[in-house]
Amino acid sequence: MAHRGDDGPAVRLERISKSFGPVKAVDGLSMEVRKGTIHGLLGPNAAGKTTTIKLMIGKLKPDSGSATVLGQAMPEGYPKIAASVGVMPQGQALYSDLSLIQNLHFFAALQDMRGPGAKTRIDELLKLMRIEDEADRAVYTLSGGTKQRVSLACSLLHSPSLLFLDEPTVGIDPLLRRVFWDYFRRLRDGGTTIIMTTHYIQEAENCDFVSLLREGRLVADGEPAELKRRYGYDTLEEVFVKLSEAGIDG
Amino acid sequence: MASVRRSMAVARRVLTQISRDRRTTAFVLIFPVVFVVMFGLAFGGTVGNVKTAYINNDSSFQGAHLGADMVAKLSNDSRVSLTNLTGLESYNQAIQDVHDGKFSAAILFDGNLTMNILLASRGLSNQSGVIELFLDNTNPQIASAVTQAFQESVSNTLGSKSSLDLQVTKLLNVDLRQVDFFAPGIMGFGVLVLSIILSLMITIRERKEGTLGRVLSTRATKMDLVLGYMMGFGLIGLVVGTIVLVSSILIFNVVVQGSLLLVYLVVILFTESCVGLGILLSAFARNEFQAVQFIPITIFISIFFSGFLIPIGSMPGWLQPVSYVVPLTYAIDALRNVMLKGTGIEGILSDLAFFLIVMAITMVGAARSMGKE
Repeated sequence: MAHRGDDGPAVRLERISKSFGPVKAVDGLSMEVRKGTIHGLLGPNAAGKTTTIKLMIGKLKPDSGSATVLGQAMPEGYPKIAASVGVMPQGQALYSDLSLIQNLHFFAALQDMRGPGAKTRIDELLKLMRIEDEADRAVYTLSGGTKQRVSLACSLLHSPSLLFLDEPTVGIDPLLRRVFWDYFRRLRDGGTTIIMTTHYIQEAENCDFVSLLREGRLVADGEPAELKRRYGYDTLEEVFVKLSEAGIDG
Repeated sequence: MASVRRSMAVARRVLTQISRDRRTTAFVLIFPVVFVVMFGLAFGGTVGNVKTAYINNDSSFQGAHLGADMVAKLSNDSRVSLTNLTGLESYNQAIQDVHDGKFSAAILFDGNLTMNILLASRGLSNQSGVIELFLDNTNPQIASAVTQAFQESVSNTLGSKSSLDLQVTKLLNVDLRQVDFFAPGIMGFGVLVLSIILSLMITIRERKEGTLGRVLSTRATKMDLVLGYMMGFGLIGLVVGTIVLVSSILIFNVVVQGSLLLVYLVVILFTESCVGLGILLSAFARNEFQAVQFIPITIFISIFFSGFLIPIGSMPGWLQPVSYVVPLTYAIDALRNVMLKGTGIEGILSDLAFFLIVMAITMVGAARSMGKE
């Protein structure tokens, strides 16, 4: 669902900071995410990727700076855009004692989807994710890869225009990773904006735009090809390693 | 805005989760029965400071005032807390006060008590001195304590030889047994334990497994979640209350004097206040281990300060205010009133109001504390 009259970026962060006690998880971060793109947030562990996502979806209140998502200031504006936003949290976040299909029905109900419309959409997603045969199995009995598919399906139920995926391909095999990326590209081509975090730098080559984070700060951002050209390397991984060794590059 | 449909989706999910867990389901169904049997067979507690009214119409006779002597001895007895209604109320009004629960007993000293006893002891009269003792029989511990205290004061004042006509009248639930008296407390306690445990555990698991974050990223509001929990757990509370009630009736022939609908109203409102408390407590626990620690604390405070085993009035004065903030106090008070005295809704309005206040405070607190990092 697009927001009419809003031609600005899907997400804008302006000098946003967030600390947890003495630890500064995000430090003066400014960035924009254009609509209809796949935008990767890259960085090693503890770079601030998940905290940045949480600031974007209003789950955390910034200590300073601002976050604007689909034209609404976060966190107070989140309820106005909840129907347009899908979130796939890190670690699956499913009800392990319920079946796969019970999880889908529950999250569909929370998105005010019901009746035949909900069933049709759930059947679509089961087919798309190739998990129809396991629909009645309890989640705790499923493989890690299947759980990731269910988790992604739960975030797509209401066909959001903005999708936040926190480490969506962690723990899944290369074949499934390819399936996911094919789907992400189809969503992007259909107008969905996707923001994803990953610490697999090589995977980020598939993104339209990447922001490299380290210790809560923006190290560099741009299109993958443009970053490689700018710093003179063949892979994004080499770019990131170089920038991490050199410190923050303005 | 909260939505009934979304809340009902949460309630259905809660009930499905519990029913899929065989151990929890068995716990919900079997534990109340075990509880009824255990506590129906046990008894304990000490009694003190029982509110007792007296009207002393006795006059002194030849320098003696036996009524006043007995009152003086009772005043020094820690088992009773005397209130003098002499000249303030009639006999009938004092008896009505016991009916209404203002006092647990009323002692009425006849006007010619001293004269009749002294003349009879000298063989000059065959009239006895009369003392009437009216007891609220809905609490056997209290009735027994007052009776013993009174009999000791009589015996210490008059000795063994006296022409005393002591008339003891039990009011309210004349045939009450110990198990009848404990049944309301057992019901309330069973509901408390299960509501607190289940609501604590489920909300802690939501946080731990990350599902809380996912839920709050949807259109569902925090209030949807809190209301959903209350609906789901409220139904479980009703099931537990029913099992305890039916078990008490079938196993121990417990009799319910008042309205069963009123009993269920009390149970459901009490359950909701416990669920709200459980959800709120979960905000202060990072994991199941921490959450579990709240359980014995809540249970022991409830046991000792609610009047479940020990009458509140028998506690030291400085401790009694604790009972005013313990939800089980009001559940036991309401259930005893309805089940043992047949009291109508007008007699338990203050108890119901307390539950509604607790529900409101814990619901708002729980919703605000949810999802905080």
